[in-house]
Amino acid sequence: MNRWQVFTNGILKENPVLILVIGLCPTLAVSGSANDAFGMGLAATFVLIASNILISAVRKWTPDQIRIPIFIIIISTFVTIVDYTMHAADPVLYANLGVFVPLIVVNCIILGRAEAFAYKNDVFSSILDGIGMGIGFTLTVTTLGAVREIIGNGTVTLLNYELLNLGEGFKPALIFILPPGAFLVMGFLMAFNRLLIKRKG
Amino acid sequence: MLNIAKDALKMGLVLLVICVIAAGALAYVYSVTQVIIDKNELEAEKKKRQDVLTAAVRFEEKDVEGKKYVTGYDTENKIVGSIYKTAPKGYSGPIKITVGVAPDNSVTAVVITKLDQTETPGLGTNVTKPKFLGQFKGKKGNELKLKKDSGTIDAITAATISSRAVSNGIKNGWEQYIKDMGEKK
Repeated sequence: MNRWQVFTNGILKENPVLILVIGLCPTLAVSGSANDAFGMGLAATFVLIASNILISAVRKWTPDQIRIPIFIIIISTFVTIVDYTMHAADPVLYANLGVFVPLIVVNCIILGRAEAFAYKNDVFSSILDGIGMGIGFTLTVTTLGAVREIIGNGTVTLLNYELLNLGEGFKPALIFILPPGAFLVMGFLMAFNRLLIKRKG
Repeated sequence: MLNIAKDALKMGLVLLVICVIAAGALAYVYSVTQVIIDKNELEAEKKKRQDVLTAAVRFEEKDVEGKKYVTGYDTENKIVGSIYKTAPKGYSGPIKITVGVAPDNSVTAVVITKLDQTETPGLGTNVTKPKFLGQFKGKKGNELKLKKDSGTIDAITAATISSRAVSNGIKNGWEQYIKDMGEKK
């Protein structure tokens, strides 16, 4: 597998949410608006890249039997850093994401990549893998959030700017910003992703 | 036997080193961010006070019956009103409400910021909008209840639980406030 493949793997072919179907808990819970979803994506991407780097860097000194506790310590350290920083930088986003920021610690995508990739590969490849998987996750949750927000609330907000507003006349289908909407939209996204992969051969 | 002991020692040491580094990094980040977090909260609190008592230029905190009330004064040092806080249980958690009361005991304004609640996005979160909160202005006593509960406040469509939590919270807080202030006078 060359470097380019390592990088693109996470976006389409091994997209963590749509193909590996891991990390669903934050995906479904915080994708009620594009803004929250994007914030969650960025936070998880940062943790993913940083923990991939560190785990890959210390893999030679890590005794095999205690690798999981070491992964968890490294991951939770970065998650706590993100938690503090987000609380200081953007209190509204912090309040919206709520408990799902600390829960990044147990996000299967991050632990999964640590175990399946970073622990067995060099630092550079691990960075690429982290960025690729991070982009895959961020793209997926943000799309999910944007679709749910348009149908369910008539708006799209990103980075706290309102990009689209269908106005007062639009009657939103509330179910889309409630939990069942997440499952509905995700099903369609999954089908769409399979179609893209099939087309590419 | 010796090998097992050596392995265990090595594992313990590796874990210890990693934990110490992690703890150090976290302590540093905490010390930097905590200052900003505290500052943000203080400013948000100040802004809320100003929003419920727009005419006030100076605020004074005081304890009545173990509860905190804030009194606002204008430029001529006259009392323009007091502020009480209440946090009734909403649909999915407490809703923190800041209420201003004029000297004639009517409500001057109510503020709930997005950070003060965890209601359903798109439904219950509408209690933070001026369209709903503006209705409380100038009212007192039973008028502070929902129309459905024989008051004067229009509930938000499809978010009756959140609306009722807010209006009942304001009313109960108001009664407590009147009682506390009455006892003091």
